[in-house]
Amino acid sequence: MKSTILLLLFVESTTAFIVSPNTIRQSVSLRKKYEDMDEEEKAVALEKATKAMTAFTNKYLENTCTKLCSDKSVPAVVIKGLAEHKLTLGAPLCPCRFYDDKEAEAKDGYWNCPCVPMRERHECHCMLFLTEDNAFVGEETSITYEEVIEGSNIQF
Amino acid sequence: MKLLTAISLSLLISSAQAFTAPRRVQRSVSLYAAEGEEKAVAMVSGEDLELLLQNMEQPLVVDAYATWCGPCLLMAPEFEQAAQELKGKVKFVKLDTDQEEEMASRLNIMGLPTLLFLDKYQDDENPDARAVLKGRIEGAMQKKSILDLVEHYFFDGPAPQLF
Repeated sequence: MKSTILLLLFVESTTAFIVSPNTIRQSVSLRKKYEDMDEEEKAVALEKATKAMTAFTNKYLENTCTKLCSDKSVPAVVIKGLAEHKLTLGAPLCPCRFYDDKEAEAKDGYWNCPCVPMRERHECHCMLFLTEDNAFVGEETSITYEEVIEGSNIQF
Repeated sequence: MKLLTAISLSLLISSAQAFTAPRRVQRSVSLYAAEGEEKAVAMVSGEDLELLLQNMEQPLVVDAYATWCGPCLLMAPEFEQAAQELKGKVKFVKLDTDQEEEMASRLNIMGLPTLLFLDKYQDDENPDARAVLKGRIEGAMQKKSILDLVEHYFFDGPAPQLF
């Protein structure tokens, strides 16, 4: 009996490493590059990235004791920009700067959110993480995904 | 088309924040001109801007921005209001740095938004020059600060205290 159980456990553990062809195909599609995705896949990826950056923002606000701008469309737009960069560049490069070479900057890391000025001095040029002495600081320390979508739906 | 020529840098000011008023931001002002009112700020391409700089008829203020730049969004209605007030006297334009990378690189844009203050340039020593960069500033700002900077750079007004 014991040996049968041990044998079954052994078989189960070894077959865990054997994946079905369907699983392999699914794993490959999850690692697809953003530019190779179709529109539906891009929309799903963008939603996922936006939710991730929203969660990161809320956590970092808490960690740094900073607050959001009183006008929540400002952080909404920035979070959307961070999500876009995360998808296209592989890193949440600061969307409030112009770069001659975005790919190089994303690899370098200085301006990947949270950028070095923010980490060292709590200076956020994007007005995403505001200290109490900022003229535009609000009272809120979190933003929802729905607020990000609503606030970033603005045309210049 | 001639390349952009003889923009001489006379002043470089960089700042992170230029607002001094402690008021809270209100979303009571539309991003654009009031309904029915024609926009005073024109969106320009790199080519458009180059043409403007070749044919400077009046002082020019350029707002270099990007789609996902939050402070750029904050400043947009302030910039429009300043443009409305100075219609006919000073030209206000916006440049999307995501779309016009070559021009943004030429203008040495870094932080966003960046405002550039350009005026007519006339010099016998440099007859090909058409425009001079009188000043530049990074960071979102209120209409009053924009107007104060225009007054200072173009009409001999006092240097504004922005901090």
